[in-house]
Amino acid sequence: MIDLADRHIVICCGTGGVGKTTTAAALAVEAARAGRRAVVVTIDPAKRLADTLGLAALSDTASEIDPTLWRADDGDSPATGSLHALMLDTKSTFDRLVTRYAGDEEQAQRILGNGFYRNVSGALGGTQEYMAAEKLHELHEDGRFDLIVVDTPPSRHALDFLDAPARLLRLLDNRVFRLLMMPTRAYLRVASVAVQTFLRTVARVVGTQVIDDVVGFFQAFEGMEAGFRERAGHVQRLISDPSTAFVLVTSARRDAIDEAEFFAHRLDESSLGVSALIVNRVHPEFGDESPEGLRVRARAFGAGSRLALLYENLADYRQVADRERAAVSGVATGVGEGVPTVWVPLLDHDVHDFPSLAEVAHHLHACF
Amino acid sequence: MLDRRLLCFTGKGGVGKSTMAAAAALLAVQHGKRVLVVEVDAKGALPALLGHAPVGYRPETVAPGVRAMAMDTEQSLREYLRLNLRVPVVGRIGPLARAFDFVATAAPGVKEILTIGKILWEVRAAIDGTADHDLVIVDAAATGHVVSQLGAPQSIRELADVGPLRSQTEWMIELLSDPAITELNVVTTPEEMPVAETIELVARVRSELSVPLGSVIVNRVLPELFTRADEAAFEAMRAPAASEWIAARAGAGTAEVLDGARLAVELRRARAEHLDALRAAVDLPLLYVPYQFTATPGLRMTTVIAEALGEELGL
Repeated sequence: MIDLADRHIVICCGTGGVGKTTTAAALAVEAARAGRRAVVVTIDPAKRLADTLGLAALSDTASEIDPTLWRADDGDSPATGSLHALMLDTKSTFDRLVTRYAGDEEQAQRILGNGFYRNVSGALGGTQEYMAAEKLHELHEDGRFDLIVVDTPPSRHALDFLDAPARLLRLLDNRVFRLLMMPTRAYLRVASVAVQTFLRTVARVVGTQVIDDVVGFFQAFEGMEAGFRERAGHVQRLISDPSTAFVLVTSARRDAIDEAEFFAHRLDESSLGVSALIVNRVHPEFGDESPEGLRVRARAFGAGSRLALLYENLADYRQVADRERAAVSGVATGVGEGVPTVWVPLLDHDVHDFPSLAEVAHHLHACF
Repeated sequence: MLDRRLLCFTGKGGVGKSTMAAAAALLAVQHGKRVLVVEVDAKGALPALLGHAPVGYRPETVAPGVRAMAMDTEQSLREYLRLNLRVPVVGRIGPLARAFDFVATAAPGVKEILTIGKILWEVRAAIDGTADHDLVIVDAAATGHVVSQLGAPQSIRELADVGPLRSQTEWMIELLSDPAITELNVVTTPEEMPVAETIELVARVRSELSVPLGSVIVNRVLPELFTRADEAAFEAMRAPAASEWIAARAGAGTAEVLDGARLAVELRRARAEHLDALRAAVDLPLLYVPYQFTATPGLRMTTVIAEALGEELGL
């Protein structure tokens, strides 16, 4: 069982393709049914799931989902529950952040129109991760929600999300950055020989336009670092607050499990714990007879006969089930002692409507 | 496929890109090619699929006829600066990594151009006959990132007004656009998200890049074991008399057997729907690789998949 009763934020992490988005949506639906005021932030939902959540258009602000769509049929859902959803739009989240901290409209426009800013605010270099964290903060401040469920971007190592605020702070602390804050070209006079060489090399490789854009950006940024720095600090504190839960999602495939263990290790290093491990889409066991035994039985029916095929088929699925259980058995120790682990069976249909989200939620055994 | 000089494999995370790249390498060796495999999103998984420990930036022989390397943009930058600009001083300005991180953030496309630049450098060497390989196989970035990776020479050409990189982009684009040299293959599985991403990627590659597309490789295809008539028969077999008869002959209950059959039928049906959507939306050749029930990732499985891929290619 996953106990999320005292949690305010639930962050779903894991490598790409393991079902993070679906898990996040299922948790939010279950929480709303239990009477929580829940909101789910999705990154890149499958089209049909997006349609279900009312995300047909890219909507960066939380929109409410009609309760008659997700309420349990038995009428048991407390009336207090509500469900909101939104899809992360990196660029507009970043734009809003700039507008908020800019001294005046002119400064905001200068930044928003800068070539370097436009590139960085797209999907580059961890910006998406930072904006996911930023969105979390925005929703936290919003006050309408008592549970925020976040899907994380499919980063290579699934941990850029954690690093994002610190990375922005590091960028602001960067020596090169400080030099670039000086009036145009003056940096070349005062910079040390080493930095001059470096900047010249960069200019030789990528051209001077890039350097000018970067310098222009950092000049326009002047006076805003304090606000950004403070904000990044807030986001970092929110992520490490005890009321924030990390739910690790994996499939039963070896590569996904390796990533999950790596991620758990990283959380541990940051003194953050894994609240639950979800092993998604596990093949059913179909009894305990060995695949070899079943293949022997299959042969008794004569090669190619329908019954032989049936037993061969079962042997195949038994073998997959055994392999998955062997792969998963080590993961509990790799993730940490006492971390609640739930297994969600492989469903024979796609999950893209409320009944099937509720079905997934049922297997998650989450309590809110 | 194997007559090209550069084969790239992309696809959504977890669909088996590395496995297909490794299988293609084995196939190429069987057809007398010497192969260099480049792992771009280095997780060390690819050498393991050929039965070897992870490798670094310097190519290592991982199987007969196959050398492998893991891309490292910082090392690629050093090599580039050394070979093209003769800037040995860069090594001495302190932690290059930190400075490089900054440049990579500041100038979009830098990391990508260093990756694709190194790859194309090796491709050119293969064509010139100065390399130890005839074919470069790339386990490329996932669908979300591969367009910016392969499109880096184009973006840099538009972005950089002057500078040696701009002049370098010409030959890179030429190699990448030549259907006799380059082929981009998309790996997918017959599931909703991988199929949706494949359709989207094919459209993006066509509109934004000049890179020739090869095939869509559909991995983990389930066998069609049973017909609709069988399904009716299976339900009949759940009747007590029938299951007793079968249990008497097979020595085991029929419930699990029938549950297994039902799962196989339902999964196959759901996947067939996604395959139909893929066929309707993409006019590239589709190659089907069966689901591996009995093998775990490693050289043996890669060999089985190489065989399946070879059959699909008519080799």
